[in-house]
Amino acid sequence: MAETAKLDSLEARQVDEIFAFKLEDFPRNVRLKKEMLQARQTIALERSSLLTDYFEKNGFDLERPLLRQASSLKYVLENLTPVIFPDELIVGSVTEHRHGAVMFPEFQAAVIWPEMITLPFRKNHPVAVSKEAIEEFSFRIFPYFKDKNIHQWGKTHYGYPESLKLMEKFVFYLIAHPNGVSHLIPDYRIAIQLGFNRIKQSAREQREQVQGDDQEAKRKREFYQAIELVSEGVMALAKNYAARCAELAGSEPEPGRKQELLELSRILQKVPAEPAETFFEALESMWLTHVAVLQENSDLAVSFGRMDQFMLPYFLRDFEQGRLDLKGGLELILCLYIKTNDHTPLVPSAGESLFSGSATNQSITLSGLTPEGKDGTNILSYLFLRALDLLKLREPNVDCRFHDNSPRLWFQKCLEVIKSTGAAPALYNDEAIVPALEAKGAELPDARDYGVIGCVETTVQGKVYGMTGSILLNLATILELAMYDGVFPLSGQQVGPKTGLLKDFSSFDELWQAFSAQLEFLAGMSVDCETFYEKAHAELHPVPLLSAVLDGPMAKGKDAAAGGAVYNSSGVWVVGLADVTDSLAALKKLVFEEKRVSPQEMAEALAADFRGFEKVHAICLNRGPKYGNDDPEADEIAVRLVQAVDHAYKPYRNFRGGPYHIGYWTMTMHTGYGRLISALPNGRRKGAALASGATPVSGAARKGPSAALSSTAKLPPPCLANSIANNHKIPASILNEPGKLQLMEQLVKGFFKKRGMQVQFVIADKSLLVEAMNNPELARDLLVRVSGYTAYFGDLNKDMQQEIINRTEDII
Amino acid sequence: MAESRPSLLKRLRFRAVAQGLKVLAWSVNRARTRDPWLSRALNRFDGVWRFESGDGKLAWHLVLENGRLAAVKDPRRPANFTFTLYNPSDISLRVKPEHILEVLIANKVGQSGDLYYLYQFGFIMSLFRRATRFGGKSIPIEGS
Repeated sequence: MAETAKLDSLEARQVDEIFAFKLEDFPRNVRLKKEMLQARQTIALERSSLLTDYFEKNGFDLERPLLRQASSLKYVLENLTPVIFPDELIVGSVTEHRHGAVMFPEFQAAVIWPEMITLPFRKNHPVAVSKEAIEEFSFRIFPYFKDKNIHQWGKTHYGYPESLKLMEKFVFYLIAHPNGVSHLIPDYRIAIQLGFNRIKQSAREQREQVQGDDQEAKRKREFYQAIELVSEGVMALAKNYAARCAELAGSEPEPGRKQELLELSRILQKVPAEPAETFFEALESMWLTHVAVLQENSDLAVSFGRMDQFMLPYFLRDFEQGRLDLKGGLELILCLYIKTNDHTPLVPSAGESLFSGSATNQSITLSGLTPEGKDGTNILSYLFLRALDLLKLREPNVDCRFHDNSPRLWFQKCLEVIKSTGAAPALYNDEAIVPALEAKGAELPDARDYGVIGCVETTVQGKVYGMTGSILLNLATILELAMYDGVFPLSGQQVGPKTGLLKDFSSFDELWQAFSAQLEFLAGMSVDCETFYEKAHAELHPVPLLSAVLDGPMAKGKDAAAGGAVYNSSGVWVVGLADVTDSLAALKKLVFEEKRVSPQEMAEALAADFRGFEKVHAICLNRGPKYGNDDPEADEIAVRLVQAVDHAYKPYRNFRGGPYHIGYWTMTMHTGYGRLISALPNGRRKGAALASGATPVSGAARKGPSAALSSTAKLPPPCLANSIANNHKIPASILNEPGKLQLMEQLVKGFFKKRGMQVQFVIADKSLLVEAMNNPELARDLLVRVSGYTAYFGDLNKDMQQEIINRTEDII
Repeated sequence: MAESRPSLLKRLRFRAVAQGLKVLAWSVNRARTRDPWLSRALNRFDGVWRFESGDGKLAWHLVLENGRLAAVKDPRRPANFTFTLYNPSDISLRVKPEHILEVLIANKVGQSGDLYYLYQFGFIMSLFRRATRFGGKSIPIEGS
C-alpha cells in the first residue's frame, strides 16, 4: 500500500514516475494481453439463445414494447453465465468467450448466415463458430426474428419507401439504425455515483407520481416500470458474478488470487447496485454496466467519455488515504483496457472492404477543458495515456484533448506515446470543437464537456443520443450524378433528378447548380430513410437500460430512442471530400476558366477512364488546384463544399427533433466506395481509393505538412460538428532524429492555433509497411491509424493496406 | 416485325439464366441426401426468389415449398426477394454465397424485398456447395 500522499498539484516527477513503469512491471497484464491476443474470435450464442427462449416462452408483446424489451433484457441479464478468466481484476464478459462476436438477431446478425459454415476458414478474419451455434441460429433464432428485426418490421409497417430502396443500393448512403442504437457515450456516472438500487427507487417514485390515465401517462408509467425491471437485471448480473467469484475463491489454492476473488466478490455484491466509493469499485461498476448495456445495444462505438475527469475523485481519495498508489491504479487501468478487447463486431466478407479491421471503437477521452473552462489535465490523464502506451492494443480508442492553455507536458507526453504506439492517441482541439458543438445548440458548459465517440466523433458526454454514425453519405456519387444527368455510371440507372450532362454545361455555376440539386436530393432521401428506421426503432426496440444511464430520459419519462435524451442529434459522416474538392476545382479552372479541356473532352475522358486521353489525364493530375497545398483556389472549393453539405441537412430535424451534425471521417469506406466510383476529374482512375476523412488526396499535398494542415484548418468548424479524421503519416526513422518530436509539436500546435479540429498520425516507415504487407507475423500486432480507428495492419484488406502505404509522408 | 438484335440477345442471355436456375434447383434437391442440414433447411424453410431482367419484363422464380426447390416461370408470382439482372452474365453459379452481398454492393445486380430471404438463400447455397464439395473449406458435415 502507498504511503498517504497528496496529488493536489500535479508534479512532473509523478508523471516521470508513471512513464518509468514498464509492462513487465505488471506480469498479470503481460499474461492477460497475451491470452487476449491469442484468443480466436468466436460467435457468441448465449445472449441470442436466451432472448429467443424468453420470447418463445412469453410471446412477443407488440402492445407494450418498453415492458417487453425490459423484461427480455432482465431475463438475459439474470441468466447470462458469469465468465471469469484467470488473473482478471476487472470482471464481466460481454460474451461467453474470451474474444466473442456479439450477435443481435433483432438487428442485422442474419447478414452472416450465408457464410456461417465457412467463417472459420475465410482468408480475412476467420471466426470460430460451433456446430451448436450454427444449428441454433439457422433453425431457431434467425427464423424467429425473421419479421421482428428493425429492417423488416419497418418495411411491414411503414411500406417500402424509395429512400429505403435507394439505401439498399449501398453506394449512395447507408443508415446505421438497422444495426441498433450505437455511437454514443452513456452517462456511466449515473451508475457509478447513484447505483441501480437508487435508479430503480427513483423510477418507482416517478412512476407513482404520474397523474392521469391518458396514453401519455400510461406510456410514462410503462417507461418507469421498464427502468425498474432493467435495474433489477443489472443487479442480478452483478450478484451472479459476485457468487461466481466467491465460488472460484473457494477452490483457489493460491492465497493472493483467493484474496483478489474475495475482494471482487465483495465489490460485486456492492456495485453497480450501490454507489462506488473506491477507484476499483468505480471501474468495476462502470465496466459491468457497460457489459449490460451491450446486451441491449449493439457493440459499435458505445464509448466511455471523460474517464480521467469522472474517475478522479475516486482515485484521489484512494491515493490520499493510502489505499492505492500509482502502480496499483495503473494496473487496474491496464486490466480494464484489456477487458475492452473481449468483443469485436462480426463483419461479413462483403463488409471487409468497407470496415476492414475495425474493432468496437470504445473511446476514452482525456484532458481538455472542464465545463467551467479550466484545464482538466490531471494525474489520471497521464495514467490512462501510459496504459495505452504500455499495451499498444487497438481498444480502447484513446483520444486526447487540447486547448490554448493545455500544459506543455501533456502535449509532449501525447506525442511521445504517438511515436511509441505508431498510431494513438488522436489529438482534438477544444478551440475548434467547443464552438462547433455550440453552433449546433449545445450550452457552453456542455460543449466543453464533450467526449469522443468511436472513431473521431465528438458530442457532449452522457447527455446526447447522438448516433454519430447514423448516415454515411458518399459525396463522390453526388459528383457523378451531377456530371451524368442523375444517372449512376456504374449501374446505368437513373438515380437522381435530371440536371444535365457535363458535356452540355457552359459554366462552373451550371455544374455547381447540378451538384447542389443532387446533394439536396440525396440529403433528403437519406433523412427520409433515417427517419423510417428511427421510428421503427422507437416503436419496436426501445432502450430502457440505455435510457437509465443517459441524462434526460428519466427526467422526461421518455425512452432515449423516442427522444428522451437532453440532446438528440444525428451524425452524418461523409466520404470523398478531397477527391470531390479537387475534381470541382479542376473542372472550374481547367474546363470552364482556362478552357484547357472542353466539357465534351473531359466527359469522354472520364467515360474512358482516361484511356486514350493521356494528355487530359496529365492535365487533370498536374494542372488542377489541389486541396492540401494551402492553395486558395482549391481550399475555397473545400470550404464551399462543407458549407453546402451542412446547408443541405440544416432544414431537417431527425425523428427525435434534433439537428444533423456533419463530419468527414471514413473508417475504410474510402477504399470500399472507391471501388465503385468511376474516373474523376482530379485524375483519379476508376476503382481507385478515395482520400480518407478530411485528408488531402494521397500525393496531392506537395508543399509539405504545414501547407496540408493549413488547408484543413480552413474548413469552418460549425460545419464539422461530427468532427473530422485528419490523417497524417510521418516516417518513424525521421521522428527518431533529434529535435523532430519538437518539430512535430510545433506542427500540431500551429494547426491548432489556426483552429484546426483534429489530427491523427501513422508513425511508420514505408519500407516497414511494405514488408508487413507481405509478412503476416509482422503485420499482426502493428498498430496503424485508419480513418478514425486504430487497427492492426494485418487485419486490413489489401486495398486499405495499400492506401496507408500510399499516404503522403510528412517530411518534417 | 422482326425482333431487334439487342432484344434477341437479351432474351437468349436470360434463357441461359433460366436454364441455370433449373439445373440449380434439380442439383440442390438431389444434394439434400448428402447433407442433413441441407435436407432440414429445405424441409423447414420456404421462399420465393425472383430473377428478373433489367427492365423487369423477363422473370423466372426459384420457389422453395413443401421441401422442394423448383425453377418456375410465372411473372405474376409475388416474391420474397428479387434479383434484378442488369447484365445476366454478371451472375453465375460460381458466385459463392459469401459473395452474394458483394455482388449487390457492386450494383451489378439490383435487389429488393425481404433481406431475411436473401440471407436464407445464401445459407441454403452454402450448404449446397458443402454437399457437392464445390466450395472450398467449410465446417464438415456431421459424421463425415
